[in-house]
Amino acid sequence: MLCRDLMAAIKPQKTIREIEQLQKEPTEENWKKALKIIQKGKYYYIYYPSALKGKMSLSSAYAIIYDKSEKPIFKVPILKKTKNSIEGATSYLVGLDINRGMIK
Amino acid sequence: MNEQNLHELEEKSIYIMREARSKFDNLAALWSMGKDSTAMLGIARKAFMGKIPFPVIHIDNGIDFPESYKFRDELAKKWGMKLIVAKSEIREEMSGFSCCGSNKTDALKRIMKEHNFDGLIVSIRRDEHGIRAKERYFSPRDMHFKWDYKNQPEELWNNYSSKEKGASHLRVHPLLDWNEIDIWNFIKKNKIPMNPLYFSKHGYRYRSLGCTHCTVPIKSNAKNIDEIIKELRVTKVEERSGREQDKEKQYVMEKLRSLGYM
Repeated sequence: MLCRDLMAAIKPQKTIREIEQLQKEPTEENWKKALKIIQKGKYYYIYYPSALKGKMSLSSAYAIIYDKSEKPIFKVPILKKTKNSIEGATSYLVGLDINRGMIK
Repeated sequence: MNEQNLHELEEKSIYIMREARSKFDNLAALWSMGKDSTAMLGIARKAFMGKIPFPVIHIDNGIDFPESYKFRDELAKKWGMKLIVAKSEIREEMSGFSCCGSNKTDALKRIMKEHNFDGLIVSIRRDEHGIRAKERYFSPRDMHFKWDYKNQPEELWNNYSSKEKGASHLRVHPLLDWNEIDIWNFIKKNKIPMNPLYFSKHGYRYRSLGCTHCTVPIKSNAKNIDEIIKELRVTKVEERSGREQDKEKQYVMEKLRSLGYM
């Protein structure tokens, strides 16, 4: 996995309102609104920064969405927030392929 | 890797499946969309005239590969499965141990209780991990889903018990004697659809599949089943070397399994 600093350096090519909303508040409603935009991508790659030693931080984890030329377009969370809990949300990326070009 | 007689392996697995179907009142199978559990469902279709006559459970932590979700939904529809998706709890910060272990086991306990399943088909193989080598074909779990690996039932002359005192359910392991290359030979021979993550792109593929957090790919150029089989014939790398939870010490895995983790 690439380090956090490198991830911060990958800037999205354009800011999309639905994606911004999703990044701020990953509710089911915002995931559904963002779905059409996400499906325009071709690839994804998920990053899991570590919060504490031995633990994974799901709230800090994210997926970068790439276009068909493997250029990064935007990033999305991988969680969905419900009223009382959180759920994993990688199923919203169905239709995209993992970008194995990002594996080091 | 030692390739065994596929016909003999299939015959035994079909026998075990049919025994389980006849002995248990309420049987189900676990499916992770990996090659072993998908092959197991392929064997079930051979055993039961093209049908899968029991519900299929996917324990979903929500962070599986998108390709796995897509494969799940497509194959479940194609094969007419009665699919039950059991969501396991996830927290913003958690260890891999709790995600793979207690959370998934809790989800399994919930679904077993809800549906009153008394038998559960699981696709583990003895060659995958030293702990799994201790398993029986029909393996009881107590009321707390714990596995007493030091006190296991005898399995003499292909007689398997479906009732054990104090057991909440029994796990059925039709693939215990298979090894990795046998699974791929079966998949090839029977044209079983496969998760595309197993095949190489950009010089990487996934040899063993878990969720997006705990699975890492291997370097490989094997783009199809024939190339995978060719690769396995010469590899000296363990199959599950790309799975984070297996990097734990042996006794930790033993503890996980004894607590009910698959």
